[in-house]
Amino acid sequence: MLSYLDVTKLYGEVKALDGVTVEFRSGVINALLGPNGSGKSTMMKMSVGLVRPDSGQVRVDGVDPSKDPVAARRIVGYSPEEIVLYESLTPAELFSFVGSIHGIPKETLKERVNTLIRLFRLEEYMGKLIGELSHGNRRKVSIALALLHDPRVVILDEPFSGLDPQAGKILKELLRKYANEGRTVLFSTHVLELAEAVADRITILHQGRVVGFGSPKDLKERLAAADLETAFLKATGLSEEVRELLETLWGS
Amino acid sequence: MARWSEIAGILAKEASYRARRRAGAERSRLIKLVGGGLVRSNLLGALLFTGMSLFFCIGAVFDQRFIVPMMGVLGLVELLVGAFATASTVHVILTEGLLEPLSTLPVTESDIRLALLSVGVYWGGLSMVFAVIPGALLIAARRGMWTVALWGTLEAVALLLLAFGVGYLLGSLSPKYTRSRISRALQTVAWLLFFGFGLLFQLLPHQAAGFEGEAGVPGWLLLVPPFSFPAAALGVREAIASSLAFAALSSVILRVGAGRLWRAASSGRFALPTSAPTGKWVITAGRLQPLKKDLRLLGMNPRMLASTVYYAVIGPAIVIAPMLADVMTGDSGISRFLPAIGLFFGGVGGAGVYYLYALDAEGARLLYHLPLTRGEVARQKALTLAATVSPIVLIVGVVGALSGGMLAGLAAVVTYGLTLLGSAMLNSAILAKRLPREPSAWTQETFSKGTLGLLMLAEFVVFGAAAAAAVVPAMLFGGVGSDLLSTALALIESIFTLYLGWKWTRGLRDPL
Ligand SMILES: Nc1ncnc2c1ncn2[C@@H]1O[C@H](COP(=O)(O)OP(=O)(O)OP(=O)(O)O)[C@@H](O)[C@H]1O
Ligand SMILES: [Mg+2]
Repeated sequence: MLSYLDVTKLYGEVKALDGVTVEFRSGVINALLGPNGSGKSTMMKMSVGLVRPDSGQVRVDGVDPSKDPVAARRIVGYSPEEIVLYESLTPAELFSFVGSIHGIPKETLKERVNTLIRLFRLEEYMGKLIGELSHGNRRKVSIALALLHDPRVVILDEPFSGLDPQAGKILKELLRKYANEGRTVLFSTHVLELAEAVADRITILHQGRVVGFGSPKDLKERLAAADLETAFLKATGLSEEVRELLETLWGS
Repeated sequence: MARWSEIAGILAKEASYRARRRAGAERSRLIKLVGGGLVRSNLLGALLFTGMSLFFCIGAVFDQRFIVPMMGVLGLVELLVGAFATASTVHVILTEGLLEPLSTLPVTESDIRLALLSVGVYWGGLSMVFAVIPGALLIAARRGMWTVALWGTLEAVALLLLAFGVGYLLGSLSPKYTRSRISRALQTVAWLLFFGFGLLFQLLPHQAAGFEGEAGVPGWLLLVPPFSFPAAALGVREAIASSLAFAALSSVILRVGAGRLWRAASSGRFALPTSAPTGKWVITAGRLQPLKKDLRLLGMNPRMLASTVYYAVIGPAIVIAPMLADVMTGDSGISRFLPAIGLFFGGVGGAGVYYLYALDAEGARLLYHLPLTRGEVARQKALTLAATVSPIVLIVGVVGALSGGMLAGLAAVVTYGLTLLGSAMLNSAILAKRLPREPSAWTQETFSKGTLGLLMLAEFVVFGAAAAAAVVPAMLFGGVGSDLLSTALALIESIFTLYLGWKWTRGLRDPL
C-alpha cells in the first residue's frame, strides 16, 4: 500500500503539493491524472525518497521513504518520467548490475530478465549499447529495470509514452497481473482513454491538490459527465477555460 | 547584441543554474567554476599566475639571458593549464548536454566558436594570460624593452587560443563512445601522453637552471614556440616568422577544435554508426557486478581510464622516481626502503578514485533510484580503483624483487596494495559524502575544483609522514634486524589505513 497523509511540498513560492491525502490500495490498478505541473511526478518521487515532503507523511508498506529511502527502494519499483540509463552499457550489463544491487540470486535474475525481455521484445537489443537504442526501447529497458526485483509496489511515471501498441498492450496486462497478485500499482498518464480502460481507481491532481478520486464510473457519475475527458475537465475546473480559449481564438 | 554573446550568456547561465540545483537547497554555496562574474571567477587564478609570472621573471630583469627561457617556460605553463582546464570544462558541457538545445537551431559554427571562447574566458580562461603578461611587463618596464611587452602579450593570447583549441579537441573526444577497441586504446595512450606532460614541469626547472652558467639557450630553441616569442622581442628574425606562424596555427587549431566540439555536441554520443554485434550477451550476478560495471565504463571511456591510471600510478611515480634514483645510486641499497615506498605510493594513489565518480556521468542518476547507501558506493569505487591498478602492483613487485630481493619486493607489494585500497576508501568516503542529494549526473565539476588538490596534498603529508616514520629504524641503526622492523612498521601502518578506510565507508549509512 502507498499512502499520502496531508503531504505538502514547496519549491520556493510554488506549491507543488498542497495537503495531498490519498491512499493507493493494493490489488487494484491506480492511475494518477492531472494537467502538466500538477504535481504527479513530485508525488511519485516521494515514494522512493527522491523528494522529501515539507510536511505530512508518505508510507510505502509502512516504510517512510524520507527516513529510510534505501528500504523504500527495495519495496518500490520506480520508473521515472525521464529515462536515465548508462548509455555505454548494454541492457544485459545494466540488468546484471541493477539485479546485483538488489541482491537477486543468479538463476532468479536470469529467469526474470528472460521473461521481461521476451515480454517487451528486447532480445535482439540485449547486446547493443543503450545509447544506440531507440527512445521506445529505452523506455522498455527502464520499465524492465523497475520490475527486476519483483517489487511489491510498482510506480511508473508516464510509462506508456513512447511505447508501441504491442508493448503498451503487454504493459497493461502486466499491470493487471501485478494488481491481481495483490501488489500496489500506480501509473501516471495524460491519455484519458488509457486511464479509463486500464485503471480501477483514478486520482485527479490539480495545482497540487486532489480534486477527484474514484473509479472511472464513479467519477463520471458524480460529475455528470459522459466521458472521462469531460469529467477530468470539470474536476480540474478547466472546462470553462477551454471553452473560453476556443471561443476567443476561433470564435467557435 | 550579437548572437554569439547571447549564446554565451545562455551557456553560462544554464551551467550555473544546474550547479546550484545540484548542490541542493541545503548546501546553498555556489559551486566553483560557474559561480560569480568575470572578475570573481578569474581573480584567484590571475593572482596566482601573476605571482608566479613575476617570480620567474625577476632573474630576467637583471640578466637578459633569462628572458627567453623564463618567458618560454611560463608560456608552456599557460598552455598546459589552459588546455587541461578547457578539456574538463568541455567534458562538463558535453556530459550535461549544454549545447544540445542549440543543435536544432540555425546557428553558425562561428557563433558557437565565439560563444565558447567567451564562455571559456569568462570561466577562468582570462586568468591564464596572467602567466605571461605581468612578467613581460615587468621586464619591459625595468629594462626599457617595450618589444618584450608586445611579444609577451602576443604570446599569451596565441597560447590561450591554442590551449582552448587543444582543450576542445581533447574534450570533445572524451564523452564519445566508440566501439572500436583500437581507437579506444589509442585515445587512452594519447591522454596518458597529455597528462604525462606534467613531466615537463619536473624537467624544465632543471633545464632552466642549466642555462645559468651558459650563454643564453641553444640556438634551435629560439625558433620553437613559445620560446620564439621572447626571442622575437630580442630581434631574432626567424623567431619573428616562427611566432607569427605559430599564432596563425593556434587560431586554426581553435577553429578546428571548436568545430569538432560543436559536431560532437550536436551529433549524439556515438562516434560511429554501429554495425553492432547483436549476438552474445549474458546475465551475470553477484557482488562483483558494480566492479564489472565500472571496469566496463572505464573501458569505454579512454579519458577517464587515463586519468585514473595517471593519478593512481604515474603521478606518484613521477614524484617517486627521482627519489628512487637517488636511493639506487647511493650505496644505501634500495631494498630496505621498498615497503615504506610502497606505502607512500599506495597512499597517494588513493586520490585517483575521484575520477571513478565522474565516470558514471549521466548514468549516475539511475543510482539514486537504487537501494544504495553512500558508503556502499564509496566501497565499490575504492574496489574499482584497486582492481584497475592492480596490474601495477605486480610490476612494482617484480621491480622490487629484482632490485631489492624477494622479501622486500613482496612486502612492498603488500604495503602498496593494502594502503592503496585503504586510502581509496578514505578518499572515496569523503567524496561520497559530498555527492549531490538530488539525482544528478556526476562530472568532475561535481566536486569543487580544489577538492582533488586538497585530498592529494593531505595524502602527501599524511602518507609521507607515515612512510618516514616507517624508515626511521632502518635509517638509524642499519642491519637486518632494523630493516625487518621498518618493514613491520610499514605493514602495520598499511593495515591500519585499510582498517580506517573500511570503518569510514561502513559508517557512511546515508542513502544516496
Ligand atoms: N526541482 C524543482 N524545482 C522547482 N520547481 C519544481 C521542481 N520540480 C517540480 N517543480 C514544480 O512543481 C510542480 C509540480 O511538478 P511535477 O513535475 O510534479 O508535475 P507533473 O504533474 O509531473 O507534470 P507533467 O505532467 O508535466 O509531468 C510544477 O509547478 C513544477 O514547476
Ligand atoms: Mg511529470
